[in-house]
Amino acid sequence: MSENPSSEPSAAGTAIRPSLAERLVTSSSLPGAILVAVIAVIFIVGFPLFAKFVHGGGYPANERFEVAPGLTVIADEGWEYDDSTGLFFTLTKGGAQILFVAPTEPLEPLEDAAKTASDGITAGNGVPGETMPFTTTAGDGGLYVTGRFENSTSATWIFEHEGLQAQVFLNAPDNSFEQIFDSAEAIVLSSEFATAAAS
Amino acid sequence: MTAPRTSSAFDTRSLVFWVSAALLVYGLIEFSPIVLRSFTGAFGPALIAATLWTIYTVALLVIISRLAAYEKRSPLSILFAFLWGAIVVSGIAVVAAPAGHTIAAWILGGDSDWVAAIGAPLVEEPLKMLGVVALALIPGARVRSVADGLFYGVIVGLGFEVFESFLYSTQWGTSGTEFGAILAIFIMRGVIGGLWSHPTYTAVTGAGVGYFFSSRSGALKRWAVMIASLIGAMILHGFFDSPLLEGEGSNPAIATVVKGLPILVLGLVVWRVARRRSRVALSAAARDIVPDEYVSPEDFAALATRRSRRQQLKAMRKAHGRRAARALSRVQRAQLDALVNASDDGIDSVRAIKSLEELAESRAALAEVSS
Repeated sequence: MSENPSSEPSAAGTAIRPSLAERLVTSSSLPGAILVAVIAVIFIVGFPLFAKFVHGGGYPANERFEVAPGLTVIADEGWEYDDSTGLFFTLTKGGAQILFVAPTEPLEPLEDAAKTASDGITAGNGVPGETMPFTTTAGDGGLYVTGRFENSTSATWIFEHEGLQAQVFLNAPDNSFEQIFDSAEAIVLSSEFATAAAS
Repeated sequence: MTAPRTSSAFDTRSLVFWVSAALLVYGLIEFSPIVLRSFTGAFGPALIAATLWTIYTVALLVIISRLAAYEKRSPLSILFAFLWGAIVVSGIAVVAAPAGHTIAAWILGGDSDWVAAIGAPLVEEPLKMLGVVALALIPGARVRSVADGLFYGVIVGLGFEVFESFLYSTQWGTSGTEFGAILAIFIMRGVIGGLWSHPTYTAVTGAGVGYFFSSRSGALKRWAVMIASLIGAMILHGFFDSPLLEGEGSNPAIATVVKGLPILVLGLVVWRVARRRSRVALSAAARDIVPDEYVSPEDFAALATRRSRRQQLKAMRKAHGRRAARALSRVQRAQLDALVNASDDGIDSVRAIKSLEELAESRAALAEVSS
């Protein structure tokens, strides 16, 4: 409803300037259309370009490199090395972090390790998804479990090769998980144990 | 006063409408594969999630419409606002949200717990606000007051919240989402967090947009209010997404309520301000525009609050029965419509004349049943 129900001249006789909403009724819609289009393009094109600019070059995609002693992966587009976590090799993209734990002899069987990961999600006030199997392109089998937290989503991949077990953790903001997950999964599936690469 | 050429935001002669339609198509192109994957990954759980969130949407739309009692807004304009939030914002966010997080991570450092709290509002709040701006730029949508902007802001926010939550419920489709997990997300995002989430943030920006387009104040003041409303909504969103009160041993439900209450209170304050401005405007319309034989200032005083309208209906039911109360309810609606349409389009407009005719008819019907 109009908050300016009368556009008649004021009592003093001076014309009252109509509001923008009133003026729009008789004016062209072109400037408004340009405004809406330009702002949308800023978000569709400008934001990703600026993000690419501040993000730096990142790891070259499609090149294999070592992420932990005995474990190599092929980076996907747009991931960058993050040295802030110290202990583990970490890549970041769009606010998400993927962290690699070096292969070691397993502390517990694969299924138990997945259960521990699932319990960890519950303990952290998250909602765990169903544990699912996967196989890397090198043929190593494993399990992964996702977790939903208040403002973020996680995924944990645990996989084995010849008596060694490796783990990869992903944590991503809620509204970019969909885009990040596929890319992170591609990296995980490219994993190769050093023993497999040597053989 | 010149009336807009359409009765809703669906104005095919407006270029803003066509730009919005193009953005809707873009959103569908970006967004459909994700929704499709949810259904193909785990059809049953996705269907359950879709059903839950549809019921949630309908229930909230009914509540929101009841709270906006002065004005019956066009269902097509409401659909426009909902689709903007659900499809346009979600679709653009597919490319812009990761960029927003990258920029936030660049500013704060990649390991900062605040990346999500800064990255999400940076993208989502301006995009949702743009939906209310697009509506306001189409005269047929009649965004003519703070209350109009607030109302459409709530609908844009609701559209975004529902689609975002649906995706969160099903994005584990490939990992076999269970019903328990879907229900947990629904309770967490819809029931516990729903009152102070996207609809509340966009209510604040929508009110700012409504002020910008309806106020006769100077440009500087109008810009200041609109920009302040955007910054305010971004701060509210960031505060809600912040890692404050989170961590080991914390209870997420309690943390959500503690963080959400100030947001809800602020949203209610903005709503009350918007309502008061509308009441003043309708009171002026009753005094200056609509002849007293239809709606006098005294009539409006009795219509001004939900409570006073209910009291009238109750008294009528007691005196003359349910039929008479229903007829009075129709008169009340017609009086409000007459005030709103006369103040929007002018007393000589088609909409105002129709309202006055409906008012005359409903009064005759009331006289018949209450005599």
